Amino acid sequence: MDLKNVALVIGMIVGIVLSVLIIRMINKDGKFKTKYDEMQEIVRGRAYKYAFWTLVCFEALVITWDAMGIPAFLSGYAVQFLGIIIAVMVQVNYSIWNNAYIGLNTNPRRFAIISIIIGIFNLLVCTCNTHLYSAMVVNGRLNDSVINLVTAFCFVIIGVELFIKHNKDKAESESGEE
Amino acid sequence: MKNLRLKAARAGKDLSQDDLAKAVGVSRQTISAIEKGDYNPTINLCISICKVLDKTLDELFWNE
Repeated sequence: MDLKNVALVIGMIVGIVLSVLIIRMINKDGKFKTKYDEMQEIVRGRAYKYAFWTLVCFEALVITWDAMGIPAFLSGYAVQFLGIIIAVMVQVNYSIWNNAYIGLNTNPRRFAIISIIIGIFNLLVCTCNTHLYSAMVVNGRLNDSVINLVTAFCFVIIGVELFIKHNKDKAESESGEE
Repeated sequence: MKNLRLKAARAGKDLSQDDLAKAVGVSRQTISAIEKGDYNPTINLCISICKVLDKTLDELFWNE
C-alpha cells in the first residue's frame, strides 16, 4: 500500500470517528441514535429507495461511458465517490423537504451550523491539496482533490437548506398552522 | 381528506400542533400532515392522539 492509500484509509477512519462524535453533538440528548417518528420512517424509506436507483443509474452510466471508449474526466476514486455523493444528496434533499431529515431528538440549528463548518473544512483541505501537492486537473482529468471540493459544496448546500427549512417550519409553527 | 375533527378537538383543548406532537411523541409536521389528510397514521398513533385529546377513535378518525 503506497503512502497515498495509507493516508486515504487513515482519513476514512478519522472521518468515521468524527461522524460519531458529531452525531452525538447534534442530538439534544447526546445519544448516537437519532429518533424518527412513523411518518418520518416511511419518508426516509422512500428517500433511500430513490437514492438506491440514482446510484444504479449512475453506475450504468459509468459502465456505458467506459464501454463507449469515451475518456473519463475523473480519476478512479473520484468517479465512484461522485456516484455516492449524488445518491446521498438525493436521499438528504428528499428527506429535508419532506420533513424527515431532522429527527425528534436533533437540534436543527446546530446541525445546519456543523454542516456548513464541515463544508468549509473540506474546502480548506481541497485548497491545501491543490496548492501543496498537485493541481486539480492532471492530464485533462480531475484528480482526487475534487472529492473534497464536491463534499464541501454538498455540506454547504445541506447546511443552507437546513437553515431555510428550519426557519420556514418555525414561521409556520408560530403562525399556528401549516 | 382534511381531518377537521382532529383540528377542532386539538383547538378545544387549547393545544398547538407542537404541543400535541410532543405529547404523542411525533414531529409537529406529522400532526400537520394528519390534519391536512396527507398522512394516514397507524392505529397506535391514533390511540395516543385520542388519549391526549380525550376522544374516541370514532370521534376523530371514523369517516361516515
